[in-house]
Amino acid sequence: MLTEILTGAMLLAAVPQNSDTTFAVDPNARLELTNREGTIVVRTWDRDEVSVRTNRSYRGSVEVRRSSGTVHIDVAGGYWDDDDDVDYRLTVPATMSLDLRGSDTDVRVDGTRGEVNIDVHDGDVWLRGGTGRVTIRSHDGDIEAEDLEGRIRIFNMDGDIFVDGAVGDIEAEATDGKITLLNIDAPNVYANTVDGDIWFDGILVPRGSYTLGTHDGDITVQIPEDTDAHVTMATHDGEFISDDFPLTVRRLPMDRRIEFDLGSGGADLRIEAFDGDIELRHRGGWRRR
Amino acid sequence: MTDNWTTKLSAYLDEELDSVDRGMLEAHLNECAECRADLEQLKGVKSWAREFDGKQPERDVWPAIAGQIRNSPRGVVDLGTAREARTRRRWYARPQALAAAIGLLVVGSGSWWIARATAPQDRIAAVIDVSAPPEGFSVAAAINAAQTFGPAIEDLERLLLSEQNALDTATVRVLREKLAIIDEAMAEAREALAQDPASGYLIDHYTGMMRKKLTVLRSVARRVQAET
Repeated sequence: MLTEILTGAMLLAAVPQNSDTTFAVDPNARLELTNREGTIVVRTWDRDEVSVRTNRSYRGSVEVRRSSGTVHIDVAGGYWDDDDDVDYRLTVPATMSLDLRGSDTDVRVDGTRGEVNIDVHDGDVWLRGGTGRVTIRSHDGDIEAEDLEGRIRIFNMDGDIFVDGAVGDIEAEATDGKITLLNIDAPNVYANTVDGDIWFDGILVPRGSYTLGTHDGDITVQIPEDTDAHVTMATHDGEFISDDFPLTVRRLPMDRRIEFDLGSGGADLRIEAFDGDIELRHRGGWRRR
Repeated sequence: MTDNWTTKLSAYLDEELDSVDRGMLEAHLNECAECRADLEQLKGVKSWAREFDGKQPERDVWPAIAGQIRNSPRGVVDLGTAREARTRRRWYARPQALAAAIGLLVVGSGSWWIARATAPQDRIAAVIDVSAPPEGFSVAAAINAAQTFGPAIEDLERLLLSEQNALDTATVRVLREKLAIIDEAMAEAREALAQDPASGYLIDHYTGMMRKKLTVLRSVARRVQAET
């Protein structure tokens, strides 16, 4: 096993063009990869090794650098023009933390159990897995994620956010896109968009906090029939629909919000749609894929 | 303490009360200084919501900022660090009850300042650090935030969209489109607030859109910083 290099000294290794390389690695290390243009696909395995493959032509060389606890992969040299995009295919230990960035880059990660940070300027993101800190940012593209656990932060300026299966704290912000959260089991959820619908399906845990807000869009909340929650809602131009839950509503005159309790009122659920309908349903239909 | 007439002030201002209620309210106003003050503040909110167009505030905050910059070695001011409360506080539109919030906003760490260092990148860095207004704002605090915070947003927006920065045309196009969406939402919220100045929900929603705009701008600004 290679000895980790301490701070101040790095091991440089250039990977030849269009070739594969595999090297040993600490399974709990962090992998950093920046791809200006192209794709990043990451799969996982149970080996303490990283496999790097590039299968598109480019004029530079892939560099693999290792410093204490971190493996850096980047492209060096060459001349960047419209043809110089790089497609990475990586296979890494499942517990490895990932820090993947790109300008015009699509990212796909499958099966990770480590921390994940994905930041792309223009590209779609698909993620399955992620434990601990999971942060996904895209300025122009759709984000789809499954089976997340931990502190989850998703920001998308122009595109949709879709999450199926998440445990932990969730914060999802969009500007022009819809937010879909399915099979959610989290004590704290914050979902907000300006122009788009919000769909929430999950359970509300006792003393949990759930805030769903949109300016222009509908909000649908699917929760178990025996949910205990204190609900506060507001809509400036929309309707409230609750065919599944019998309610006794109290209106707060100065605040213009209405509130009511489901069951014993354990969790705190706030739903606000400036121009859109709000619907409360019994949970059903959507299940984990 | 909220009396029964407080809930009718907004309707009175909008001339929505019938003649009986209007007469009774006017008789009450003759005797209740507190409700008269509430009514005047509601009038102020309606006027502000109709007229505010995001231009520079009438109150000149620059002299105080310039003083801090002169004394700061880096040429930027230390900006307010009021953090968004994790627990939402509900502020009802009762101006007297929220006067303390105004005091806290002015005196405490809830102030926001614009740093105008010389280089565009320094200005981007300074404006990025502007804290977003916390949730649960009072009526007066929302007005104050719009007056002092709005210019910071505009400054960052101008810097990012100017030719001095390295944003590519596609990014500029997307940024302009998204800012237009947010601006439209803010205008709609402001218009609604003009019609219903007593709505705590609308006040929160308006400041929420302001936070959203700053979040978008800061996200792009940080990318500009990272790439320059």
